Amino acid sequence: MNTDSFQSTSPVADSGGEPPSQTVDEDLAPLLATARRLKRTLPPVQPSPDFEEELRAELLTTARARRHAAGPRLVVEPDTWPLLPPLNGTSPVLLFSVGLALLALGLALVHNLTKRQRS
Amino acid sequence: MTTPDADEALVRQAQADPEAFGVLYSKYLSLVYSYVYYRVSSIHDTEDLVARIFYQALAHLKDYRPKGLPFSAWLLRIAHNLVANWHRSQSRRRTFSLDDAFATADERVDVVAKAEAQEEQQVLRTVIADLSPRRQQLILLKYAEGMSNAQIGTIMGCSEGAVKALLHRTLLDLREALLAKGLRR
Repeated sequence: MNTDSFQSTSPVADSGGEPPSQTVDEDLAPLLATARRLKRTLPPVQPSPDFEEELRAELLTTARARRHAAGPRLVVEPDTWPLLPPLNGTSPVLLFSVGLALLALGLALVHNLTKRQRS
Repeated sequence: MTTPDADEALVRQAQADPEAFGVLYSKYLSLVYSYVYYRVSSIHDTEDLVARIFYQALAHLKDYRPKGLPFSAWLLRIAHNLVANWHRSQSRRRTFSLDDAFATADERVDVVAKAEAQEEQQVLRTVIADLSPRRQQLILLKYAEGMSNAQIGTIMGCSEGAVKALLHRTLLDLREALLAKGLRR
């Protein structure tokens, strides 16, 4: 069972180690001492300025390399290619008819050319 | 710590331009450094781990999504995982640091008091190191970073009440452990 979800109304836990009021339960006094001991023994630690600047410079170099490696942004193409503007909105039946006519014209031209070559 | 919203803007900026990551680095270096230091107890290892944490954060920044958690929580999760890996990779557990020894060896004033303080710190670190990772995180955020229960709850992903309850039980356990180690003051 995970007991970490149990509730408590401890003034020690509330205050982080400082006495919350003048009347502190005798049972809690030792916990206050423990909290104070923790505060005293765990002061915030700061990195040395040399380390901070060195790591900052290294991270900046890495960041720049990443940006250059990524290069220019790719243009994402749409899911479907758009129709050419003059044909956009034209009826499919009309398009088929025009295509058929162009095919017939082409065949006629090929036929005439072969006929001339023979004669 | 600032609001998650303020961080979101900084993160979006850094996601668009990695060079802007420097702002986040400056803002959270001390937090990450302190968090790691109290879990590995050596300046050399701390610096190595902190560098790896920020490199990893930079590399995976594009994958970061707030999801209601602040950026600091995401950073500390990376820190937590790398520190856990580091502990696993150590053949033996170190509870005393040569860095500390050298730091106090140079100072000749009040040697006895310093030795006592150092001994107390050593015992306390040993006792904290025996806590579960979640409780270690709680103690460090509370006492090394001085965060409020609400801030800790945001980082650890639980309610302020749950933080309060966990802190109470952790202090009870720590007190027992300290008494067992002979620290009664």
